[in-house]
Amino acid sequence: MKMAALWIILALSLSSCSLKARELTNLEPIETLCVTLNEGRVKIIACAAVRDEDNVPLVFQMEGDSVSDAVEKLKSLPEGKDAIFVHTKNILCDTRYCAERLDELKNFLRDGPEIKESACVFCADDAAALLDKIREGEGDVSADLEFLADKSAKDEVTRAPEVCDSGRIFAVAEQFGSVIPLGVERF
Amino acid sequence: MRLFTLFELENKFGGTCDLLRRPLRLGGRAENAAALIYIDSLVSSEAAGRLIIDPLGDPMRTLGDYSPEAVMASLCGLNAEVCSDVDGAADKLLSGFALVYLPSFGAAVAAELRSPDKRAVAEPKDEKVLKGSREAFTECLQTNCALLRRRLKTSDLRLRAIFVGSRAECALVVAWIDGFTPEKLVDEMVKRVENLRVEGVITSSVLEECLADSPLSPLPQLIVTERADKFCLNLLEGRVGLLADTLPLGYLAPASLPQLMKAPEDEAAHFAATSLMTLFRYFALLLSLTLPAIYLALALYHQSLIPLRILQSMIEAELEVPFPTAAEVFIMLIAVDLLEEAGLRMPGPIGPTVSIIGALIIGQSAVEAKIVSPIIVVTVALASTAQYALPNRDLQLAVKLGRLGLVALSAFFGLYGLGAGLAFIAAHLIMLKSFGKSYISPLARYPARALLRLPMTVKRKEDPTV
Repeated sequence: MKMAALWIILALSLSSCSLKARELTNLEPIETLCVTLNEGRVKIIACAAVRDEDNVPLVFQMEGDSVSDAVEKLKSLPEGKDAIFVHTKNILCDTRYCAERLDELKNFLRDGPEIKESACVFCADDAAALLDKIREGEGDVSADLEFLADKSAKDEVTRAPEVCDSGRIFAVAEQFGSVIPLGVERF
Repeated sequence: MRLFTLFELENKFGGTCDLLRRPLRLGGRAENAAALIYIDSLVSSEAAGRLIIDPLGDPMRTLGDYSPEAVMASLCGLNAEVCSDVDGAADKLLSGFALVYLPSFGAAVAAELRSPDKRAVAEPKDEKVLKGSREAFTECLQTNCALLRRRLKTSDLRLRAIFVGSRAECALVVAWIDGFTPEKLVDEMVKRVENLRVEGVITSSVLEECLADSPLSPLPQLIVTERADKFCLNLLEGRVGLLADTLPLGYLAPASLPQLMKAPEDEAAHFAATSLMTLFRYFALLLSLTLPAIYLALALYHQSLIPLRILQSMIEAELEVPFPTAAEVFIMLIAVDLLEEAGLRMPGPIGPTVSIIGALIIGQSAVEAKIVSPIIVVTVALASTAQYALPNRDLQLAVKLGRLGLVALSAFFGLYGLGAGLAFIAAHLIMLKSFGKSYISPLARYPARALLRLPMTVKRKEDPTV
């Protein structure tokens, strides 16, 4: 029994050697991600959960050949900080990206460990402007997105009319500080 | 034939100032000179004069042939015996006897005149109850035995005295109920007590360490109580008890975790309330053992398991603190332990004040000075508070040690380390035995009986002797 106890400790300890401790102060959890196309390249703007002195969430930008490439590059931030995407709830994409390369994003969400598959994707004409409104706390944008995400989670089986077959992908538009779903769109 | 001389006896004590010798004339006759010897600090001089000098020196009495046997017979009403060797005589002196030395026979008659200087039976200090007996053990072995006899009015109660100590003798009493306590258990206790290798002074730690199955384990392997009623209840549950002279505590074996989680007032409260409180205590045990380690593992390695809003608060709090998270947790744990130690060592009225001031300094000033983050203060304070919900002080200390170990494992290996540490603790608990009985018994076989206090009607159905 003593040998068994020692073995458990040894095995578990060795299996954890691959883990790397990260201080909380070196982390930037990303809450919202904005994906746009810029001259054929994917540009992502990551909005952090932690706020700066002016109480505005920090943003980080990166370009890459694909979403996964841009996310990979964005992981290492200046000052030795690490961006973590596991808490990302909302991904705002512009309509052009949704029309041309949404499958790439779906594959990234399905296969990659960085972002949970439960994250909601919102397709809007101007995703970057929507992100700015979220950062600045204008109108009910954040609350509306949260409402849609919650509704999607609750209606996962029955599928709400505004949720398309792909699951948590919404076509939305911003009107007068509010976000409205545009109905079912097949992406 | 002369067996020993007075000089030999006095020489054995090396001229100690409290060994008194008073001349005595048996029957008031000069030719029957004798000496009364006793240790002043152990025997009452007044009793020696009244019970020995007066009757033996009375010229109106004749004492037969003035032999030791005749002198002993004349000391009626006293516990007396003849000592024919110097070592036996010295032992008697040390046990509170007075010796009547008869030079013509080279022998002495020892009569028990133990001084009544002892503490009265008082209320328990650490195991107070609102409803229940208020009698605690004292330092006097006879008083403690009397407390047992008064509660257990049965001729089956056995008290066996065993003397240990290579330099100074110390009396221990093994207590059990004949025909009820397993014989094997009694024999094991007697064997272990007889094998005690001590110089003379018995301390609680010596007893607990020498009688434990696994002395290296920090877990208490004897139930220690200052309450006579708890001691008797445990004897009636089939345990074997041990009392030591000069120690105001009773020791019971075998010990088990469920038994150590019982508080003194459990027997006085309603069974439902007692059961609920016992469950709370187990929750407190887990909380106290693992909370700082879980916090550290999540904060350093498994941030993805923390909900975003909580993680955000944790990061914002940590941004203003200069120390690494692991250092903060250790600083807080050490600070709380220091406060606890200071509170214990301080004189009565000052102790609580120091604790309050310390708590304020740590809880508020440390956060304001940005030395530690408020979440860590809350985590460590919760764990420390939960520790005090455990009814056994030795168990609290073991939990404290375990908590430090788990925090260290979490700091290096995250939740894997914590899992390994908990697996080790579980394996240790399963393997640990107290006097041959499983330490977690009856948790595995009868969890309800271990975790809850069943109503008496149910207990009687299970076992008609209850």
